[in-house]
Amino acid sequence: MNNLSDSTLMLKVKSGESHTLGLLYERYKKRLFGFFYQMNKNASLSEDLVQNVFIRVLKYKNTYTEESNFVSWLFKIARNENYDYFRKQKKYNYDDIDTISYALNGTDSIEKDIELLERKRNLKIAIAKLPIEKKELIVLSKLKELKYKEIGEIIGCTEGNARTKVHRALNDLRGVYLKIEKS
Amino acid sequence: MMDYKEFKNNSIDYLSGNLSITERQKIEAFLKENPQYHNEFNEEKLFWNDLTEEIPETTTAMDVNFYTMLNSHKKEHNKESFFTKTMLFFSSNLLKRLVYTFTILTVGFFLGKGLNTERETTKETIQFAKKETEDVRSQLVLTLLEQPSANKRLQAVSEVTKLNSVTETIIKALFSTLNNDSNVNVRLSAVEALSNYTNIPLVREGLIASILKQKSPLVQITLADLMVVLQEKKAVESFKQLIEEENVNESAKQKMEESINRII
Repeated sequence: MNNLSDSTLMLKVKSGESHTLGLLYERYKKRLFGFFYQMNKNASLSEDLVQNVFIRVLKYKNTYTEESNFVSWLFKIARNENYDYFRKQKKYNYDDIDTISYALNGTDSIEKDIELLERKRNLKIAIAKLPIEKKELIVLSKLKELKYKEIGEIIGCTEGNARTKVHRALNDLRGVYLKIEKS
Repeated sequence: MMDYKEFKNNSIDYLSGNLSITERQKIEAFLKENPQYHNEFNEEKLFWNDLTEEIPETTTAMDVNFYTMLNSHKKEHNKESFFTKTMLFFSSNLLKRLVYTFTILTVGFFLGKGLNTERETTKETIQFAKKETEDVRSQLVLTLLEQPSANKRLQAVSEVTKLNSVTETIIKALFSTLNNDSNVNVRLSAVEALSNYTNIPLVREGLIASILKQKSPLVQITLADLMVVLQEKKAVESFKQLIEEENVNESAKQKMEESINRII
């Protein structure tokens, strides 16, 4: 059972073997949690959103077909869940952006560690300043399984368009980041 | 041949794993031929890598919530299909009327009875909730035992100890772990978990049968200790057989001999 592809498992869920969803949950819970966490920086909320994604998977299981790409389908649901949540909240929470700590690497010099911390901190501030759509594109493009083709399927555009959008989002991020560095 | 513009345009695609092998090789060849762009590429790489965030670990509460949801979904689904089948069976008009009348009478009867036995209902609800938690935990154990990560499988075995009662499926899954798991720590914890249920004949028999299947001296020694505690005479023959074998660890053999003496 463990060696079955995501799609085979999802088709089993669709046919009524809902217990199979447990295996898909174990495969994807960390990646989904990572996606939500990077979007909202709130671990407890991210866990709730992961749970909601799987509730939606059961609710909309009939929309899954043999031709579907499971990872794109799942992240499309995750994306909608994220949008719905923040639409309800009507605001984005950036409060705890500075409270995230990083473990220092013991072998490097303190100066290097401080430099690294400073760089990452600035990058975090820059990401937080991006509009949600651009931030989302960056988070999605960092996920190993998601290439431009899958990102296109998730956000509803062509592969080429997805590539352009990711490039633009990264360029914007670089621009904001450099401004923060100089200030 | 790649030019600078193309290199600049494709470096992010290279770092994000979006290029084919040939395209990747082109970038690598360009960098080899143009060392002056190494710094620029390294900067880009640093920027891309810095985007990787540290993500906290998820909690067990998330797993429990998920399996609770899954379990209640399964129950609802079963109820639904039973209802659908029943409705199809009673689809004729005459039968429909009779069934409706009978249902109303039955509902009325139980409603009246229910109002008088509120306390009993509360007890039943608590028992039902307890059973529900047990079901979720069992489901969690079975799913975790199938995971490729040894840590997950260890977590599964430790979840077993939290169960008030075990089902035959869980016992079988634990034996399958004890006899086939690739990780010795997982097998050892399976022995420990099973040792709590030695009052069940199936468990005692299974543990005896498992002695000959074990190759690790650690598991052999743990089983030898357990058989002494249980004073299980049926295990003596298996230990004697293992002592005779050449490729069994000497310390394990010594332990088994001690155990045979202590059992008798």
